[in-house]
Amino acid sequence: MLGEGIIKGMVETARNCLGSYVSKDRLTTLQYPEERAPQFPNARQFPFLVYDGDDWEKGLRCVSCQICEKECPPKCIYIVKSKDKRVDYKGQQQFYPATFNIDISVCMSCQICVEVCPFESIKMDNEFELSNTDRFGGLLVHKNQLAKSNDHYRKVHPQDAAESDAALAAEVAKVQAKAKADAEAKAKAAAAKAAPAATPQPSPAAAK
Amino acid sequence: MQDMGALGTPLMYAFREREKIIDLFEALTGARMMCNYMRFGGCRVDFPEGWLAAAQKVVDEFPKFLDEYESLLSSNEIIIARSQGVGILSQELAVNAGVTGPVLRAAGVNYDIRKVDKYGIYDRFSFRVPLGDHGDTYDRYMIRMLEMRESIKILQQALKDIPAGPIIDPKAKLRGFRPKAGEAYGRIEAPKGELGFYLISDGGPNPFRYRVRPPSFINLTVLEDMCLGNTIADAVIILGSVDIVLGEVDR
Repeated sequence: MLGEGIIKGMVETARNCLGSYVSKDRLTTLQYPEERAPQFPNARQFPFLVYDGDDWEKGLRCVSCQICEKECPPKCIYIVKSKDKRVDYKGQQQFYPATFNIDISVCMSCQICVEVCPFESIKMDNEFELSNTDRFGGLLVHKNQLAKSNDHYRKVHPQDAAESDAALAAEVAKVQAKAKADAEAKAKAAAAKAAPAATPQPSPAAAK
Repeated sequence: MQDMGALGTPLMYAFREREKIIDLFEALTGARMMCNYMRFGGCRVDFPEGWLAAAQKVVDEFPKFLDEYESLLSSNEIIIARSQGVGILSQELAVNAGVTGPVLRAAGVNYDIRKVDKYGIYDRFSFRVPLGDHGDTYDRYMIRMLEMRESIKILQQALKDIPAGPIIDPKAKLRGFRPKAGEAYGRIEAPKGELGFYLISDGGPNPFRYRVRPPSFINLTVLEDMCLGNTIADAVIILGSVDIVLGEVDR
Protein backbone atom coordinates (compact mmCIF):
# COMPACT_ATOMS: atom_id res chain seq x y z
CA MET A 1 0.00 0.00 0.00
CA LEU A 2 1.32 3.43 -0.84
CA GLY A 3 2.05 5.44 2.27
CA GLU A 4 2.58 2.46 4.50
CA GLY A 5 6.20 3.38 5.16
CA ILE A 6 5.28 6.92 6.09
CA ILE A 7 2.62 5.72 8.50
CA LYS A 8 5.12 3.31 10.06
CA GLY A 9 7.46 6.22 10.67
CA MET A 10 4.68 8.32 12.13
CA VAL A 11 3.76 5.53 14.54
CA GLU A 12 7.39 5.41 15.69
CA THR A 13 7.41 9.16 16.26
CA ALA A 14 4.14 9.03 18.16
CA ARG A 15 5.44 6.21 20.31
CA ASN A 16 8.48 8.27 21.28
CA CYS A 17 6.51 11.47 21.76
CA LEU A 18 3.83 9.94 24.00
CA GLY A 19 6.34 7.64 25.67
CA SER A 20 8.34 10.62 26.87
CA TYR A 21 5.49 11.46 29.24
CA VAL A 22 5.56 7.97 30.74
CA SER A 23 9.09 6.69 30.65
CA LYS A 24 12.17 8.55 31.85
CA ASP A 25 14.36 6.71 29.33
CA ARG A 26 12.63 8.33 26.39
CA LEU A 27 12.87 11.82 27.82
CA THR A 28 16.49 12.57 27.09
CA THR A 29 16.68 16.36 27.31
CA LEU A 30 17.34 18.62 30.28
CA GLN A 31 16.10 22.17 30.83
CA TYR A 32 19.68 23.40 30.92
CA PRO A 33 20.14 26.49 33.06
CA GLU A 34 17.77 25.16 35.71
CA GLU A 35 18.70 21.48 35.48
CA ARG A 36 22.24 20.28 34.98
CA ALA A 37 23.64 16.92 34.04
CA PRO A 38 26.26 15.75 36.55
CA GLN A 39 29.82 16.14 35.32
CA PHE A 40 32.11 13.16 35.04
CA PRO A 41 34.88 13.03 37.64
CA ASN A 42 37.65 13.32 35.06
CA ALA A 43 35.93 15.85 32.79
CA ARG A 44 38.33 18.45 31.48
CA GLN A 45 37.83 21.77 29.74
CA PHE A 46 40.67 24.29 29.86
CA PRO A 47 43.93 24.54 31.78
CA PHE A 48 44.55 26.65 34.89
CA LEU A 49 47.58 27.40 37.02
CA VAL A 50 47.75 25.99 40.53
CA TYR A 51 48.98 28.11 43.42
CA ASP A 52 49.65 27.16 47.04
CA GLY A 53 48.80 29.31 50.01
CA ASP A 54 46.64 32.42 49.98
CA ASP A 55 48.45 34.83 47.68
CA TRP A 56 48.16 33.71 44.07
CA GLU A 57 51.08 35.82 42.90
CA LYS A 58 53.51 34.42 45.45
CA GLY A 59 52.24 30.86 45.47
CA LEU A 60 52.20 30.08 41.75
CA ARG A 61 53.94 26.77 41.18
CA CYS A 62 54.88 27.66 37.62
CA VAL A 63 58.61 28.29 37.23
CA SER A 64 58.27 29.47 33.64
CA CYS A 65 60.21 26.57 32.13
CA GLN A 66 58.16 27.02 28.92
CA ILE A 67 57.90 23.29 28.19
CA CYS A 68 54.13 23.55 27.85
CA GLU A 69 54.52 26.48 25.47
CA LYS A 70 56.74 24.34 23.22
CA GLU A 71 54.61 21.20 23.43
CA CYS A 72 51.20 22.83 22.96
CA PRO A 73 49.92 21.54 19.57
CA PRO A 74 47.86 24.62 18.62
CA LYS A 75 50.38 26.99 20.28
CA CYS A 76 47.86 28.75 22.48
CA ILE A 77 50.17 29.36 25.48
CA TYR A 78 52.28 32.50 25.69
CA ILE A 79 54.84 32.86 28.48
CA VAL A 80 57.32 35.60 29.31
CA LYS A 81 59.97 34.57 31.80
CA SER A 82 60.68 36.87 34.72
CA LYS A 83 64.01 38.71 34.97
CA ASP A 84 64.48 38.03 38.68
CA LYS A 85 64.12 34.92 40.80
CA ARG A 86 62.12 34.21 43.89
CA VAL A 87 61.77 31.43 46.43
CA ASP A 88 59.39 28.66 45.39
CA TYR A 89 57.52 26.07 47.48
CA LYS A 90 60.65 23.90 47.73
CA GLY A 91 62.68 26.75 49.14
CA GLN A 92 64.77 27.11 46.01
CA GLN A 93 65.40 30.16 43.89
CA GLN A 94 63.29 29.92 40.73
CA PHE A 95 62.03 32.05 37.90
CA TYR A 96 58.34 32.82 37.72
CA PRO A 97 56.14 33.74 34.76
CA ALA A 98 55.97 37.50 34.21
CA THR A 99 53.22 36.91 31.64
CA PHE A 100 51.23 33.72 31.21
CA ASN A 101 48.40 33.87 28.68
CA ILE A 102 46.27 31.08 27.28
CA ASP A 103 44.03 31.76 24.30
CA ILE A 104 41.15 29.45 25.12
CA SER A 105 39.52 30.11 21.78
CA VAL A 106 42.50 28.21 20.30
CA CYS A 107 42.97 25.65 23.08
CA MET A 108 41.67 22.21 22.16
CA SER A 109 41.68 20.74 25.70
CA CYS A 110 44.16 18.01 24.82
CA GLN A 111 45.82 17.97 28.24
CA ILE A 112 49.32 17.71 26.79
CA CYS A 113 50.49 20.74 28.82
CA VAL A 114 49.40 18.92 31.98
CA GLU A 115 51.26 15.78 31.00
CA VAL A 116 54.54 17.51 30.19
CA CYS A 117 54.59 19.84 33.21
CA PRO A 118 57.29 18.61 35.61
CA PHE A 119 56.18 20.96 38.41
CA GLU A 120 52.51 19.94 38.75
CA SER A 121 51.64 23.55 38.12
CA ILE A 122 49.23 23.49 35.16
CA LYS A 123 46.08 21.40 35.50
CA MET A 124 42.76 21.00 33.74
CA ASP A 125 39.65 22.74 35.04
CA ASN A 126 36.11 21.55 34.46
CA GLU A 127 34.53 24.99 34.22
CA PHE A 128 32.57 25.07 30.97
CA GLU A 129 30.40 28.20 31.13
CA LEU A 130 32.90 30.55 29.55
CA SER A 131 30.76 32.49 27.12
CA ASN A 132 31.86 36.05 26.73
CA THR A 133 30.79 39.18 24.89
CA ASP A 134 34.35 39.99 23.84
CA ARG A 135 35.41 37.56 21.18
CA PHE A 136 39.16 38.19 21.24
CA GLY A 137 40.11 39.85 24.50
CA GLY A 138 37.60 37.96 26.60
CA LEU A 139 38.89 34.58 25.50
CA LEU A 140 42.55 35.46 26.03
CA VAL A 141 42.96 34.45 29.65
CA HIS A 142 45.71 36.12 31.67
CA LYS A 143 47.76 34.97 34.63
CA ASN A 144 45.47 36.45 37.26
CA GLN A 145 42.42 34.70 35.78
CA LEU A 146 44.29 31.43 35.29
CA ALA A 147 45.57 31.21 38.86
CA LYS A 148 43.37 29.00 40.98
CA SER A 149 44.13 27.57 44.37
CA ASN A 150 45.17 24.02 45.10
CA ASP A 151 41.92 23.65 47.06
CA HIS A 152 40.04 24.31 43.85
CA TYR A 153 42.04 21.57 42.16
CA ARG A 154 41.31 19.18 45.02
CA LYS A 155 37.64 19.96 44.54
CA VAL A 156 37.45 19.41 40.78
CA HIS A 157 39.72 16.37 40.48
CA PRO A 158 40.07 14.83 43.97
CA GLN A 159 41.95 11.72 42.87
CA ASP A 160 44.46 13.45 40.62
CA ALA A 161 44.99 16.18 43.20
CA ALA A 162 45.84 13.61 45.87
CA GLU A 163 48.41 12.07 43.53
CA SER A 164 49.88 15.43 42.66
CA ASP A 165 50.06 16.45 46.34
CA ALA A 166 51.88 13.21 47.15
CA ALA A 167 54.32 13.76 44.30
CA LEU A 168 55.02 17.31 45.47
CA ALA A 169 55.47 16.20 49.08
CA ALA A 170 57.98 13.58 47.94
CA GLU A 171 59.78 16.23 45.91
CA VAL A 172 59.97 18.61 48.87
CA ALA A 173 61.17 15.80 51.13
CA LYS A 174 63.87 14.95 48.60
CA VAL A 175 65.01 18.56 48.38
CA GLN A 176 65.09 18.89 52.15
CA ALA A 177 67.00 15.62 52.52
CA LYS A 178 69.47 16.86 49.94
CA ALA A 179 69.83 20.18 51.71
CA LYS A 180 70.43 18.33 54.98
CA ALA A 181 72.99 16.06 53.33
CA ASP A 182 74.65 19.11 51.79
CA ALA A 183 74.78 20.83 55.15
CA GLU A 184 76.27 17.73 56.76
CA ALA A 185 78.81 17.39 53.98
CA LYS A 186 79.68 21.05 54.41
CA ALA A 187 80.08 20.61 58.15
CA LYS A 188 82.26 17.55 57.55
CA ALA A 189 84.36 19.42 55.02
CA ALA A 190 84.75 22.29 57.45
CA ALA A 191 85.79 19.82 60.14
CA ALA A 192 88.23 18.17 57.77
CA LYS A 193 89.69 21.55 56.87
CA ALA A 194 90.09 22.44 60.50
CA ALA A 195 92.06 19.26 61.11
CA PRO A 196 95.56 19.11 59.61
CA ALA A 197 95.63 17.44 56.21
CA ALA A 198 96.45 13.93 57.40
CA THR A 199 95.38 12.19 54.23
CA PRO A 200 96.81 13.81 51.11
CA GLN A 201 94.28 14.49 48.38
CA PRO A 202 94.84 12.26 45.33
CA SER A 203 95.91 14.39 42.44
CA PRO A 204 93.89 14.25 39.16
CA ALA A 205 96.79 12.49 37.43
CA ALA A 206 96.85 9.80 40.07
CA ALA A 207 93.13 9.35 39.86
CA LYS A 208 93.45 8.60 36.17
CA MET B 1 19.35 11.63 4.96
CA GLN B 2 18.88 14.97 6.60
CA ASP B 3 19.52 16.65 3.26
CA MET B 4 16.33 15.01 2.06
CA GLY B 5 14.07 16.83 4.43
CA ALA B 6 14.21 14.12 7.07
CA LEU B 7 15.91 16.76 9.12
CA GLY B 8 13.99 16.72 12.34
CA THR B 9 13.04 13.42 13.78
CA PRO B 10 15.62 10.84 12.63
CA LEU B 11 18.49 13.25 13.11
CA MET B 12 17.41 14.08 16.63
CA TYR B 13 16.88 10.40 17.44
CA ALA B 14 20.41 9.74 16.24
CA PHE B 15 21.68 12.58 18.40
CA ARG B 16 20.12 10.86 21.40
CA GLU B 17 22.29 7.80 20.83
CA ARG B 18 25.33 9.88 19.96
CA GLU B 19 25.00 11.53 23.34
CA LYS B 20 25.22 8.16 25.09
CA ILE B 21 28.32 7.17 23.14
CA ILE B 22 29.99 10.52 23.75
CA ASP B 23 29.17 10.27 27.45
CA LEU B 24 31.14 7.02 27.45
CA PHE B 25 34.07 8.82 25.85
CA GLU B 26 33.89 11.58 28.42
CA ALA B 27 33.68 9.21 31.37
CA LEU B 28 36.75 7.39 30.13
CA THR B 29 39.01 10.13 28.78
CA GLY B 30 37.69 13.38 30.18
CA ALA B 31 36.81 15.04 26.87
CA ARG B 32 33.92 14.50 24.54
CA MET B 33 35.53 14.91 21.14
CA MET B 34 39.27 15.54 21.54
CA CYS B 35 39.85 12.44 23.60
CA ASN B 36 43.67 12.33 23.43
CA TYR B 37 43.54 8.80 24.73
CA MET B 38 45.79 6.68 22.53
CA ARG B 39 49.49 6.53 23.23
CA PHE B 40 52.43 4.77 21.65
CA GLY B 41 52.37 1.40 23.36
CA GLY B 42 48.99 1.65 25.07
CA CYS B 43 46.54 4.24 26.30
CA ARG B 44 46.43 6.97 28.89
CA VAL B 45 44.06 5.93 31.67
CA ASP B 46 42.33 2.77 32.78
CA PHE B 47 38.56 2.30 32.83
CA PRO B 48 36.78 4.02 35.67
CA GLU B 49 34.60 1.78 37.80
CA GLY B 50 31.50 0.52 36.05
CA TRP B 51 32.56 1.79 32.65
CA LEU B 52 32.56 -1.60 30.98
CA ALA B 53 29.05 -2.34 32.23
CA ALA B 54 27.87 1.04 30.92
CA ALA B 55 29.47 0.36 27.54
CA GLN B 56 27.89 -3.07 27.42
CA LYS B 57 24.51 -1.51 28.13
CA VAL B 58 24.85 0.99 25.28
CA VAL B 59 25.94 -1.76 22.89
CA ASP B 60 23.09 -4.04 23.94
CA GLU B 61 20.50 -1.33 23.48
CA PHE B 62 21.75 -0.07 20.16
CA PRO B 63 20.07 -2.58 17.80
CA LYS B 64 16.72 -1.47 19.16
CA PHE B 65 17.45 2.11 18.17
CA LEU B 66 18.67 1.00 14.77
CA ASP B 67 15.30 -0.67 14.25
CA GLU B 68 13.73 2.64 15.17
CA TYR B 69 15.69 4.54 12.51
CA GLU B 70 14.93 1.89 9.96
CA SER B 71 11.21 2.03 10.62
CA LEU B 72 11.42 5.79 10.16
CA LEU B 73 13.49 5.78 7.01
CA SER B 74 14.02 2.51 5.17
CA SER B 75 10.50 1.92 3.93
CA ASN B 76 9.47 5.56 3.68
CA GLU B 77 8.03 6.09 0.20
CA ILE B 78 9.40 9.61 -0.15
CA ILE B 79 12.91 8.46 0.62
CA ILE B 80 12.64 5.51 -1.73
CA ALA B 81 11.30 7.68 -4.52
CA ARG B 82 14.01 10.26 -4.11
CA SER B 83 17.01 8.00 -3.55
CA GLN B 84 16.56 4.80 -5.55
CA GLY B 85 18.27 5.09 -8.93
CA VAL B 86 19.68 8.51 -8.06
CA GLY B 87 23.40 9.21 -8.17
CA ILE B 88 24.52 5.87 -9.54
CA LEU B 89 28.24 5.21 -9.18
CA SER B 90 29.55 2.43 -11.40
CA GLN B 91 32.05 -0.10 -10.12
CA GLU B 92 34.73 0.85 -12.65
CA LEU B 93 34.51 4.54 -11.89
CA ALA B 94 34.57 3.93 -8.14
CA VAL B 95 37.68 1.79 -8.36
CA ASN B 96 39.44 4.11 -10.81
CA ALA B 97 38.71 7.22 -8.77
CA GLY B 98 40.13 5.65 -5.62
CA VAL B 99 36.86 5.86 -3.74
CA THR B 100 36.86 3.84 -0.52
CA GLY B 101 34.59 3.01 2.35
CA PRO B 102 30.80 2.63 2.25
CA VAL B 103 30.58 4.54 -1.05
CA LEU B 104 32.78 1.93 -2.75
CA ARG B 105 31.03 -1.00 -1.10
CA ALA B 106 27.63 0.37 -2.11
CA ALA B 107 28.87 0.13 -5.69
CA GLY B 108 29.39 -3.58 -5.12
CA VAL B 109 33.15 -3.76 -4.69
CA ASN B 110 34.18 -6.01 -1.83
CA TYR B 111 37.00 -3.97 -0.34
CA ASP B 112 37.22 -3.48 3.40
CA ILE B 113 40.68 -2.80 4.84
CA ARG B 114 39.66 -4.54 8.05
CA LYS B 115 39.32 -7.71 5.96
CA VAL B 116 42.11 -7.01 3.47
CA ASP B 117 44.88 -6.01 5.90
CA LYS B 118 43.50 -7.71 9.01
CA TYR B 119 45.21 -4.95 10.99
CA GLY B 120 44.96 -4.69 14.76
CA ILE B 121 42.90 -7.50 16.17
CA TYR B 122 40.25 -7.55 13.43
CA ASP B 123 41.22 -11.11 12.46
CA ARG B 124 39.79 -12.26 15.78
CA PHE B 125 36.29 -10.94 15.10
CA SER B 126 33.75 -12.55 12.83
CA PHE B 127 31.76 -9.97 10.89
CA ARG B 128 30.35 -9.57 7.42
CA VAL B 129 30.94 -6.84 4.87
CA PRO B 130 27.64 -5.65 3.38
CA LEU B 131 27.71 -4.89 -0.33
CA GLY B 132 25.35 -2.88 -2.52
CA ASP B 133 23.91 -3.90 -5.88
CA HIS B 134 23.19 -0.66 -7.70
CA GLY B 135 25.54 1.93 -6.27
CA ASP B 136 22.76 4.48 -5.86
CA THR B 137 21.99 6.76 -2.94
CA TYR B 138 19.63 4.28 -1.32
CA ASP B 139 22.33 1.60 -1.39
CA ARG B 140 24.77 3.94 0.32
CA TYR B 141 22.21 4.65 3.03
CA MET B 142 21.44 0.96 3.48
CA ILE B 143 25.12 -0.02 3.61
CA ARG B 144 25.65 2.35 6.51
CA MET B 145 22.68 0.92 8.38
CA LEU B 146 23.93 -2.65 7.88
CA GLU B 147 27.47 -1.66 8.82
CA MET B 148 26.23 -0.28 12.12
CA ARG B 149 24.75 -3.68 12.88
CA GLU B 150 28.02 -5.37 11.98
CA SER B 151 29.87 -2.88 14.19
CA ILE B 152 27.60 -3.81 17.09
CA LYS B 153 28.56 -7.43 16.46
CA ILE B 154 32.25 -6.54 16.59
CA LEU B 155 31.75 -4.53 19.78
CA GLN B 156 29.93 -7.40 21.46
CA GLN B 157 32.82 -9.72 20.68
CA ALA B 158 35.40 -7.14 21.74
CA LEU B 159 33.72 -6.35 25.05
CA LYS B 160 33.39 -10.04 25.86
CA ASP B 161 37.11 -10.78 25.89
CA ILE B 162 38.74 -7.52 26.87
CA PRO B 163 41.67 -8.57 29.07
CA ALA B 164 42.66 -7.17 32.44
CA GLY B 165 46.22 -6.00 32.85
CA PRO B 166 48.57 -3.05 32.36
CA ILE B 167 47.27 -0.36 30.04
CA ILE B 168 50.57 0.87 28.68
CA ASP B 169 53.95 -0.59 27.88
CA PRO B 170 56.28 1.10 30.40
CA LYS B 171 59.17 0.99 27.92
CA ALA B 172 57.30 2.93 25.24
CA LYS B 173 58.64 6.46 24.78
CA LEU B 174 55.96 9.10 24.46
CA ARG B 175 57.76 12.01 22.84
CA GLY B 176 61.09 13.13 21.58
CA PHE B 177 62.08 10.00 19.72
CA ARG B 178 63.96 9.80 16.46
CA PRO B 179 62.72 7.15 14.05
CA LYS B 180 65.20 5.64 11.61
CA ALA B 181 65.41 7.28 8.20
CA GLY B 182 62.85 5.77 5.85
CA GLU B 183 59.18 5.89 5.04
CA ALA B 184 56.03 4.25 6.32
CA TYR B 185 52.37 4.15 5.40
CA GLY B 186 49.68 3.03 7.80
CA ARG B 187 46.00 2.83 6.94
CA ILE B 188 42.78 1.97 8.68
CA GLU B 189 39.17 1.59 7.65
CA ALA B 190 37.63 4.78 8.98
CA PRO B 191 33.85 5.35 8.84
CA LYS B 192 34.33 7.33 5.63
CA GLY B 193 36.88 5.11 3.93
CA GLU B 194 40.57 4.48 3.88
CA LEU B 195 42.33 6.81 6.28
CA GLY B 196 46.05 6.61 5.65
CA PHE B 197 49.08 8.31 7.16
CA TYR B 198 52.27 8.55 5.19
CA LEU B 199 55.48 9.57 6.90
CA ILE B 200 59.02 10.07 5.72
CA SER B 201 61.68 10.37 8.39
CA ASP B 202 65.18 11.69 7.89
CA GLY B 203 66.25 10.47 11.31
CA GLY B 204 65.41 13.70 13.09
CA PRO B 205 62.81 14.40 15.75
CA ASN B 206 60.40 15.93 13.23
CA PRO B 207 59.04 14.19 10.13
CA PHE B 208 60.59 15.16 6.81
CA ARG B 209 57.24 14.74 5.07
CA TYR B 210 53.84 13.90 6.48
CA ARG B 211 50.66 13.37 4.55
CA VAL B 212 47.21 12.21 5.48
CA ARG B 213 45.10 10.39 2.92
CA PRO B 214 41.67 11.87 3.57
CA PRO B 215 38.81 9.54 2.63
CA SER B 216 36.17 12.27 2.32
CA PHE B 217 38.27 14.41 0.00
CA ILE B 218 38.85 11.55 -2.42
CA ASN B 219 35.27 10.29 -2.23
CA LEU B 220 34.06 13.76 -3.09
CA THR B 221 35.94 13.81 -6.41
CA VAL B 222 33.29 11.54 -7.99
CA LEU B 223 30.45 13.87 -7.00
CA GLU B 224 30.30 15.45 -10.45
CA ASP B 225 30.04 12.11 -12.23
CA MET B 226 27.30 10.97 -9.90
CA CYS B 227 25.31 14.18 -10.33
CA LEU B 228 25.38 14.25 -14.16
CA GLY B 229 21.97 13.47 -15.56
CA ASN B 230 20.10 14.15 -12.35
CA THR B 231 18.17 17.21 -11.26
CA ILE B 232 19.64 19.94 -9.12
CA ALA B 233 17.48 18.85 -6.20
CA ASP B 234 19.13 15.44 -6.37
CA ALA B 235 22.61 16.96 -6.08
CA VAL B 236 21.95 17.75 -2.45
CA ILE B 237 20.97 14.17 -1.68
CA ILE B 238 23.95 12.76 -3.55
CA LEU B 239 26.29 15.07 -1.66
CA GLY B 240 24.69 13.94 1.59
CA SER B 241 25.07 10.30 0.67
CA VAL B 242 28.82 10.67 0.08
CA ASP B 243 28.94 11.78 3.72
CA ILE B 244 31.85 14.18 3.77
CA VAL B 245 33.58 15.70 6.75
CA LEU B 246 34.50 19.24 5.81
CA GLY B 247 37.60 19.22 7.96
CA GLU B 248 39.06 16.64 5.61
CA VAL B 249 37.86 18.32 2.44
CA ASP B 250 39.21 21.76 3.28
CA ARG B 251 42.87 21.42 2.35
